[in-house]
Formats: sequence, structure tokens, C-alpha cells
Amino acid sequence: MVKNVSLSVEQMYGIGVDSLPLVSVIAVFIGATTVTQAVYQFSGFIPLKYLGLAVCKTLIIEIGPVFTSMVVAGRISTAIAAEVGSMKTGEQLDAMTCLNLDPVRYLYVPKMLACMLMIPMLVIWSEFVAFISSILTVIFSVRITLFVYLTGLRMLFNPSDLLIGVAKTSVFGAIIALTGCHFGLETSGGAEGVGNSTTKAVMTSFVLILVFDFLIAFLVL
Amino acid sequence: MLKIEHLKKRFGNQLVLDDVNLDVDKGEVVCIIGQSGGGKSVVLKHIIGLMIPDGGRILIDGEEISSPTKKSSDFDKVRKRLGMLFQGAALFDSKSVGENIAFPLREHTSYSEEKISQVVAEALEMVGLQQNFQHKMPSELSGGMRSRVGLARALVMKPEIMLYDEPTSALDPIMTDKINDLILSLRGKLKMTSVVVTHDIASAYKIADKMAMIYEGKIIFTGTPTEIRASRNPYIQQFIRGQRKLHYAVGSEAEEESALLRPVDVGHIKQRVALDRKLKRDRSFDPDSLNMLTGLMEYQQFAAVMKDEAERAGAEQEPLAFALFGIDMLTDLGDRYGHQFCEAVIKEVGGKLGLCIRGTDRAGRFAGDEFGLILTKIDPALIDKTVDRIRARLMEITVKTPGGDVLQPVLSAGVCVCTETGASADALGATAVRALGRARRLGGNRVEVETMPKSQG
Repeated sequence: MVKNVSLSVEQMYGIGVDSLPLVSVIAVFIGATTVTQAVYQFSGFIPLKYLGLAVCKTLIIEIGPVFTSMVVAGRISTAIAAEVGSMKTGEQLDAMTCLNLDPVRYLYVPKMLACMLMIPMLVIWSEFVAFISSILTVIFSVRITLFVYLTGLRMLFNPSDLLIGVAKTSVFGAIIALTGCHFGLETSGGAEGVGNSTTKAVMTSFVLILVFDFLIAFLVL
Repeated sequence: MLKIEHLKKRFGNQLVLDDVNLDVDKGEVVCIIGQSGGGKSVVLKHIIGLMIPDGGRILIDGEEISSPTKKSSDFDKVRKRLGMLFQGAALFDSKSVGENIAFPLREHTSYSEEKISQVVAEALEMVGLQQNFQHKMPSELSGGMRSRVGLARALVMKPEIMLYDEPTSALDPIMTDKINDLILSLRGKLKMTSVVVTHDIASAYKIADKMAMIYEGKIIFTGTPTEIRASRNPYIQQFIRGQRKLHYAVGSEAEEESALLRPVDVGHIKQRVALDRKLKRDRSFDPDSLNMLTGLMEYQQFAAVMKDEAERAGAEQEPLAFALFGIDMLTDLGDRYGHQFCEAVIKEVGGKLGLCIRGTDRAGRFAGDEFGLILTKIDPALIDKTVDRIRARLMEITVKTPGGDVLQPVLSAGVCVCTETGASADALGATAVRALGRARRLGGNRVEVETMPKSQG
């Protein structure tokens, strides 16, 4: 069990820490774009004092979790599919079995745990960066005071929204790991086979993330 | 020690293994040879439990380890007694050489890190690699080094039976020799039983105590390297000589396969070798005895070979056929297109005949426009079809006339079949000449067969 934890920690580092720069850059633009789009949509119809409210709900419930998960899926499900696929075509999975090392225990479970734990963390970080970015965007380009914007942010803030938004990304993490492992194991042939597996993994994980996002929204909200 | 009984495996509609039987004794090096895609690696994967058979079973020291009813998880205990070196070594890319070798030790033993380092160092030394290799990554290693690291990784768990899957494929001859020496030294030092899958015949000759030839999912031969060299199974001869596989000689595809798959009796081979020694035969060819135009044997050499084969067939009570191919109307063609055209036809037909025969058959230039072919291991009932098939292939050649037209020659064949009692070479030749004459008198473009009466044997 201790050995599994160390393998999972190793995977968490690769999946979580290594994804931070990408997630941070994406989050900056998510925050800025959400504010800019909202201002455009509100103009002439809705007072800008509700800008914070709209940005808060959008970022916490939908855009933050889903967008971040999809970006991470693009990076991680392809990486998992390529790694498992290369190991399969290079007979490394067979070698592991021959050494009495169970690939499920040594390869798939650590990846699954790492994805389920690290993607929510990344989403929390992403939302934090997106809020900072949105605040900076408001300060520099929107004609309302920071106080008005922050009041809007707090207006209808519900902690359960944040909880649901983050918790569902754990499901997305499982989807990302499962699709990566599944299509990696399905790999046949050489480099072309690995390429096909990565493509299938990323496409399937995108679709499944959106499907499960709908199901969770339908059932929970 | 290791026993495979009636092993069967099917992938979809393709029957990959069909009744494979093999015995491996303790401390023995057994090489399984055969064409790529013939099911050699599948046998290894069954032994180590990566695949579950559809039929048959595998036993180690009398204990059943694999059968259709056994589960993959049942293999966990057995695998500790087995090690496997994969083709390409299958090292874990993300781990260094040292980590690769230490991986099974860290997971399956309670050794301290100090002890693990010591075992890794010993394993590297055993496979002839220096200690500084420990920190290299697999991508920095050559093919031979990767194989040695893969071997070291398998050896640290001290397996009783080592399985090698194409250990020398894609290696240069020097590295191949090193790996072969390593396999032999492991047998010497650790008394390890080895099963080696390879299509490298030279390696198999060097390391094998016993060789098993797999063809179409069956073991068609088991014996020592000397015995396999002496085998007269046409497929084995084609394989060990590296000749192209050509299907023509026996009859229909099914009959042909049945003949190729017939197991060879080792005792019978020994008798043949003894007979060769008694007759002091030297079958090596003198290059000067080859016909300059066709590359086939000249009549004198061919007649000597005919005599040998006739004697052998008589002694072994085996059927033998002598086919004489003649180019129809060659004189008329010569009159019309000239001597050079005739030479070109003879050259092409002779060249084609040399290319489309089995390793065990012998072809020679018999006379001006006639070619002789000695066929062994034949089915007398199907010999007309066999010879007609060869004749059809010879008639595929094309030769340009001086005017630029393209002509295809027409051939006739006279065949003399000697069934079981043997016959002299002269009698074989005379009968075939008579049969060819009859074929030509009947208009040519045909095969005429005469069976040698027993009284003439």
C-alpha cells in the first residue's frame, strides 16, 4: 500500500504540478474573457453592478471546472494513452506481468487516484487565478468600482456551488484517466497506433466530460 | 522439467497453435525455430501465462500450470520460477537501467537498498555490463545492451526456466554472438533451463541442445542440430537453408501441407546419415560442373547425383521420380530466329527451373534442349499434376525474338516414377526419355508418365 502511495504521489506531481503553468495561463484568459463578454452582453440591458454576480456563477459552476478539465484532459488523457500505448506495443506491460507486477496496481490505479485528486486542486487554483484576472480586467477596462464588482461577486455566492463545481471535476478526473488507460490498452501497431489512441482518448474524454457535466447539472442542481 | 501437451490457440478464425507438443529437460537449451508469424512467441506467452490456451496444457515438474480452465491469476506462483527476455528487451522507458533491474527486487523482496544495489551490480556484471550503466536511461543504450539489461532484470529473481523471445533479432553478428555466449554461460553457471525462440538458424545451431521446428502451428521436428541438418523434410531444408518457400511439389495444397507436416522420425534420419557415410557421398558441388548457360548441373554431375538418389531411394524404399522437360519445336524456332534466340530460350528455361524447385530436388541440363529434374518425397499418384505445375511455371518465361516479338516457349515432359523398390539411374533416364518422346509424338505441350515396373528395379 505504501508503495502504491509513492507511485500515486509521483503521478500527482506529473499530473498536477506539471499542469500548473498551462492551467494558470488558461485561467488568466478565462477570467478576463468572462468579464469582457459579460460587459458586452449587459450593455444597455443589465446594470453593471450585477457583473460580479454573473462572473462568479459562471466561473464557479461551469466555465472554471469544465474548461479547466478539458484543458487538462487534452494534456493528460493523451499523455496516459501514449504512455500506456507505448508500453503495450513495446511489451512493457507484458514484461511487468512476467515480473509478477500487476499493471492495474502499478500503473492504472496511481494514475486514476492522481487524476481524481489533482484535477479538483487544479480547478480551485484555476478559479482563483481567473478571479484575480477578472478583478484586474474590471480595474483596467470596466467603468465600475472594485467595491461594486466585489459586492456583486458576494451577492449570491453559495458555497455549495463551489463544492459541486469542484467535486464534479473529480468525476472528470476519473473519466480522463479511464479513457487514457482504455485507449492506451487498445493500441495496436506502432507509432500510428499510438497516435490514433491519443486522438481517440482526447476526443472521448471531451465528449464524456460534457455528457457527465450535463448529467450532474441535471441531477444535482 | 517443462512439458507442453497438445497446446492449441486460436485468434478469431486463425488457428495459430494446433497440437503443439514439446518436452524440455532440466538444464537444457531448446530452440524453437520457424517462420515469423508461425506461433513461436505465442508458445512462450503460454508458458509464462500471458495467454490462456484454448486446448492442451503445460506442466512444470508434473504440475499443471496452464490449461483452458486455469485462470491468469493462478500463474502468480509459477511466474516466480520463470524469467523472460522479450524481443527488444521491453525495458521500462521511464526508469534508469539500475531502477529497471531493481524494480522486481523492490516489489517482491524485503532487501535493503544496500543489498539491492549489490544484487543489481552482480546482475550487471553477470551480463557483462559495467557499473556506470546503472544510471543510463534505456534510450541511451544500443540493442545489444538493452537485451543484456533485460536479461539482468529477469535474472535477479533467479528463475529456474528462462524464456528468450528472439534475443538476437536486429542485432549485428558480433552482438548476436555475445548474446549467444551469454545464454550458454548462464546455462553453465546457473544450470538454467532455457527455451529460446528464434529464426536465426546460426544462433540456434550454436546454443541449442535440442531444436524444435514449428510450422503452421505444429511442431514438425524435434532433434539435435545435427539431426535437423540431416532432415530431409522439404520445409525444414528450405528453412534452414534460407530458401524461398515454394509450393508445387506434392499435389493439392492440402496434400502438400499434410506431407510437410508429417513428423520426421529421428531414427530414420540417423539411418540416412549412416547410409551417406557408408556410401562416402560428397554432395558438395564443384562450380566448374555447372552449366555456363543455365547455371544448372552439367550432365556428368547430374548423372552422378541421379545415381546417388536412385541408390538412396532404393535403400530407403522411398518413391522417386525423374522428370525430363523438353522445349517443343526448338529446332524450328532456331531455323526461324537463329541460334542466339535458342540459347536465350534455354537460358531462361534453365534459370527458371533452378529457381522453382524445392531444396531437396535436383535439376540439371540433360541434353541440348532437355532438362532433368529428380524429385524426392513425392506422392506417385499425384506426380503428373506436380510435374505439370512445374511445366506451367517454366512456360511463364518470355523471350524476345530478333524482330522484337515476345514468345513463350512450350514444353513437354516425360516422367519416370519409381515407387518402392528402387531403380538404376540409367533405367530411370531411359524410361523418362521414352515418356518424353511419346509426349512429343502426341503433339507436345503435355506430360506423360511411366511407372517403373518392379522387375526393372
